[in-house]
Amino acid sequence: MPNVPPRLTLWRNTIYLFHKTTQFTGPFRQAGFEKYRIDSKFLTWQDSQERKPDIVSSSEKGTLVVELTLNSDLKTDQLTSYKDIDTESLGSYGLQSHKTDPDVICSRLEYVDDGCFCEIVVKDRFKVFKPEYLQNGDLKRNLLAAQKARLNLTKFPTLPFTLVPEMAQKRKEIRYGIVDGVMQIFSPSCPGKTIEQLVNDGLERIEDKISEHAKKELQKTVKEQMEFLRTKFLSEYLTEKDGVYQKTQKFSDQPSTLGAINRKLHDWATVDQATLAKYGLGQSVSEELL
Amino acid sequence: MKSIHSLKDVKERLQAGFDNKEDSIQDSGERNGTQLKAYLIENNNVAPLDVGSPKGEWRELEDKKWFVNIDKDYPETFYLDTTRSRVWILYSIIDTNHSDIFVKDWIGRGKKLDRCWLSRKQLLHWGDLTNASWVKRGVGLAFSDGLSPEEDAANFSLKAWHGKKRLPAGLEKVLTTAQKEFAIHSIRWQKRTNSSVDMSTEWYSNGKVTINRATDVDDVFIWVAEMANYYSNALKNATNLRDTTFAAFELDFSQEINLNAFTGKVLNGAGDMKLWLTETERQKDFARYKGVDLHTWDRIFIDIGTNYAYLTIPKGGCVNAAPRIATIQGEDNAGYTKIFHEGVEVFA
Repeated sequence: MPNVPPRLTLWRNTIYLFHKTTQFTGPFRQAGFEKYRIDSKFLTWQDSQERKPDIVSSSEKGTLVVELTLNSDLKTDQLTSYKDIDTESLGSYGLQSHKTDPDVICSRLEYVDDGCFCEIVVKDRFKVFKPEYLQNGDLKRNLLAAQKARLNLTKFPTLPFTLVPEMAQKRKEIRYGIVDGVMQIFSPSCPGKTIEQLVNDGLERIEDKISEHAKKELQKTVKEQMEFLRTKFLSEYLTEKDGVYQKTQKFSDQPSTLGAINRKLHDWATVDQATLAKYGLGQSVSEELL
Repeated sequence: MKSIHSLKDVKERLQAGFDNKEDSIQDSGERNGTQLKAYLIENNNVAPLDVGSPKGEWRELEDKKWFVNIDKDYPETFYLDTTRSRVWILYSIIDTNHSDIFVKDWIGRGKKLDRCWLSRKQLLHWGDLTNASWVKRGVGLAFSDGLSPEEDAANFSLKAWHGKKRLPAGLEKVLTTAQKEFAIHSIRWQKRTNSSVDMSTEWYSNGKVTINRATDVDDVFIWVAEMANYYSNALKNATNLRDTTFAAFELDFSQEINLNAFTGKVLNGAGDMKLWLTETERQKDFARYKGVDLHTWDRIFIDIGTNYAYLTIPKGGCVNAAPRIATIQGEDNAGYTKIFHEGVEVFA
């Protein structure tokens, strides 16, 4: 099994900042940002153009937009475009409406200078850069406090979601995201799972924070990758009937079978040309499935 | 022998067994006959008639939600109390060796049943009850060093049945030290009124209790039900915490574990831990896994250091996994294990 995809680490470590446990309160949460939406559509207040930032949240004092990226290219233009989001319409998503411009933050695993925007780095120790661009004093203060406390993000408990909407075009990450859901299909009492169930399992706690459209996009890729798994890797043990993926009669829950399935799931999750050759697949698999 | 149709019939039969044993204790000092056993069973939304009986089939008694087994070889030997939806109580009058096998097989059939895994604080619960005179009469510790190769495994077990109120000189020190490091597998508790013994019990970490001696069947039922209610409330609280917070369950081990050996065990779903996981991240002293818990086939995430673990159970998953993994892991390889959620000890 590959390591946790960096995209998932980026998302989990950023989402953590909105949450609270007894031993830890994320700086966003501390600043009053509790409810948030993921990958939701908003319009600009001037010319009603569509914008779809990664995370939007609001507190009593204002709106926060967070863009998450692994890309080393500058995000300045995109971040600038979020400044015009009509924050009066946040109520459509159950968030508090405002009449002021949102604070926009870029969250990354490595620092890249995006110009006149506040940025956070959520790898290892939490870091904040250019907080002076934030209007919300509570937010600024709490981000600086988290940095001062040298908040260690490496050994946080795993948040249970394994899919995020951005993965819809990332096949390898999708495979990682649904492996445990696939393992459950082999439960003696499991009647099988549909694609919708696999996606909802993977989204878990963030399932109610994303749009139906984003779920549908994920479902398309999950369907494609499940077919890849069923036909090329687990044809002996996995079958599909009326949209439900089920175990075959050949499956038994003996350690030897579980170990064999685990190895095949590993090969599927980490598939590359060498893996394909191992299964005698070679050119028969289209590149886009990888 | 009179056939069983009601709860009253069950109680009469059990009471006769207690009375016979008391008679034989009076006559010969021997405790003849099989002991009554009760198993606390965690039920995850299944109906009694759908899961069958440990031996044969269930027949419902005149008293609703009580069942007796019908079987060719062992008729009317198991009695099931399903009056609590989440925690059932299964009584058995078969000898321990057979009874334990039948119950293990029944739970292992993959029908959403599990044992109730009693934490140390739950095993010690009787000592906290000021209105009843329960006296601790012994403790059993277990450590099988299950992550080590067989030839190197430092197996350890200790059963200290001291049997008197005052411990022999030196034993208390030994027990205090050992209990800090190793998991408690069982505890003997005796209930006394004045100078006479009302009930002698041995509670096990896997939710079983053996009634070594009793004078009143109602007394037995009431006290077994007390633990069932206590555990049921702990499950309810833990489910609520899981559903309303983003925090994980945290397991604290007293013994350091070998992460490489842990990986070796869990990849194939082998061993008592019954975890089928894939490793997703590895640092020198920390690893992340995800996969399924083979007892219930619920998804779980385990992030594990050498002396602690975070256990995340996604929504819909059964939180009984937390005490199960803590108990099994504790007796297998991690020693005395406590469970916390947001810094507060749970299942306690």
